[in-house]
Amino acid sequence: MKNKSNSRQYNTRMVKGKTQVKKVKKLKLVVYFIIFQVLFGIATAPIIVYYSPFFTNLRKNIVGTAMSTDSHEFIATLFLSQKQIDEIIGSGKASVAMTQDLSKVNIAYKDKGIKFSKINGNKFNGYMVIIDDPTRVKVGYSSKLGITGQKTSQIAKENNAVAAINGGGFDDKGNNSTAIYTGDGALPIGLIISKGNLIFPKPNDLNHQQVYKGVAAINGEGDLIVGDFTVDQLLNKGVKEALSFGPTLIENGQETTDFTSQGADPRTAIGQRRDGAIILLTIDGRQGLQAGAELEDVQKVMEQEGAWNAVNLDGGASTTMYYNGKVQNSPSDKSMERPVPTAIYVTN
Amino acid sequence: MKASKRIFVWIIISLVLQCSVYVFLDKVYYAPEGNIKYTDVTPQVPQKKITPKVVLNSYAKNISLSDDLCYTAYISNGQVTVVDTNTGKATGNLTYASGVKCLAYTWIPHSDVVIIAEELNGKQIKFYSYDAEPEKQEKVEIGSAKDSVPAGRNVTVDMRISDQTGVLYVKVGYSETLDKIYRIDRNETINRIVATNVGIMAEDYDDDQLAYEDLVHDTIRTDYTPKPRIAISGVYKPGLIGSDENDNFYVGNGVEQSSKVYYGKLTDNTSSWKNISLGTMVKNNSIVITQNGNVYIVDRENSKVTDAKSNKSYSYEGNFWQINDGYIVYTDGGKLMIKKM
Repeated sequence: MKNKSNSRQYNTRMVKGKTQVKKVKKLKLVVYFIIFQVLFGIATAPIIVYYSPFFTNLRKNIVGTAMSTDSHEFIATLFLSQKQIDEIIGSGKASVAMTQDLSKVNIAYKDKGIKFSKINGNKFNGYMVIIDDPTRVKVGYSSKLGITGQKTSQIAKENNAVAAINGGGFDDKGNNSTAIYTGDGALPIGLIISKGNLIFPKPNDLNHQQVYKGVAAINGEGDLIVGDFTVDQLLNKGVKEALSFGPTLIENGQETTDFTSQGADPRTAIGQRRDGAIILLTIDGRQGLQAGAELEDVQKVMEQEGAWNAVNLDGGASTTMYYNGKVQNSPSDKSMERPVPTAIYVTN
Repeated sequence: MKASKRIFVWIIISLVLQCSVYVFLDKVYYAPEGNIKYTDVTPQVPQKKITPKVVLNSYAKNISLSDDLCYTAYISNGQVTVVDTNTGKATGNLTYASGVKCLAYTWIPHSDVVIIAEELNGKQIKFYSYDAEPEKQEKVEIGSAKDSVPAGRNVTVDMRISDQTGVLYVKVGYSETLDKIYRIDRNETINRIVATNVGIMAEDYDDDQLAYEDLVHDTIRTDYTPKPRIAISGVYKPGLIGSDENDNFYVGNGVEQSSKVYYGKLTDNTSSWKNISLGTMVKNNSIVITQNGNVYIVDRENSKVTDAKSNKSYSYEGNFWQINDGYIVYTDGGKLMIKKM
């Protein structure tokens, strides 16, 4: 009996031992499996995404987003030639020369009509303000331009505005900082015209031949002029308010195609309907699962709202929608509003 | 299973998994937006009058209000709570995972957004922003997982943020003699600044300039290269008090207490800095610099706040917490009070 019990105990120990060995083996196998999946995934992902005939949207977004940020360009340039990058994001597409036909815009309203609405999509949320009288729309700029920028809400408040969106771009470097990503809107990029006066570049620094791309300008009648112009051309057209960023999204009711994809991001844009009403649009992004909108998405929103002409403005962390005394959207940088050099505002 | 067969199966699994993710991203996440809805909404309007209705328990500490006084935040039981100052009701969606302890928080100037530093299971410190305004109430993580800041036993955190540049400086105290400063920029990249034993920290509102007390050498250092130290003629051991939104840094003529406060820009020579005499020796932590550059002396024993420039005094009753936009914020018998100065 004793022998039998000993042998049973021995057998049980043997079985337990074997089970434990099996368990360790299984665990090792799982670890190897995970390591293999990670390494194989890293090695093959660029080949599948960049070189397979599928995943066009994904490819365009990854390359577009990477190329629009200095710090992440390597995600595209490490695996693709410049020619391949251009093909994916569509740079180098022939631009269709177009002359803006402002006779098709008949300004119908001259009252104080203004509408605030929310946009909900699967990929993004945004806000839109439609102003019936386009002559109420002005370009505002930081009162300390060259030293520091101001928040869109500050520019709006200083101009007693009812609504405002951020405007043009700027060097992402503070006035007294050597580090990048510290830009406070002090140093604008592009041009600024306000109340018929050239604000930036300073008249003495102006190169009369320089063509500014992606201009959003408003003349004395309230027409939104979009496209690429020199400062002299704009002033000759009777432009009172202007800034530039781009690209132009809609011209003469037709969607433009000659821009490169920049991926999904927060966006700001301005457009005008044929009845003269101005559309101010902001779309939030870089928050949770909502990356934001692509330029094509902004085009679509503008087109659905009946925009005859529309242009994209500075987006990303700068995107701000101010209305009724408050910032209505959620800016993407730590939820805080970013200072900018210029804003487009609506007089009260 | 033979090794070659196993690897073959693993390759197939990897390709299937990868392609499933890529198909989702291609056809759903990055697909052109096809379902846009437009709804007319009533825009948010600023609250005009603030009449606090906040009752706080005795464990509530670090009580402070947003710049527009609309929201009140405090730390209680290791968690930051944000309430509507006018109603006393907690704002929505500010929740914490289990094992989280809030170490500190700070309001972003001119906003209703708080930045919260959370310690997760005693291992790492993570940062979140939270906008208290209705329609926006969402907690968003700052920085990526790879950039986390290590925690430690009894770790302390102090934060300063520049309103204009968006640069956040975080002082993490690991022990009595070991502190580290981390810099989080607008791109949400986290970098460490070389510093070991740090006292008070102050950041310029407009520029990317940090000043901090180096307690090892009893000096004030800055990250502004042309002026790595703030040295004031005749002051042997200076103490950093704070900064204002006009790029001025404020320095007391003593590390613990001061009778004179010097102030000026880092870009200017300290010999041209102005100074304010306090009349008597005052503990540095009882000197408050407001955003607009006012200097106040808080006399907690006599429940009195004195404007050091005009010498005007204002009384309050209870526990002093802060000076915010020209108001004294204090609690009296657990009730939040604000008093215009």
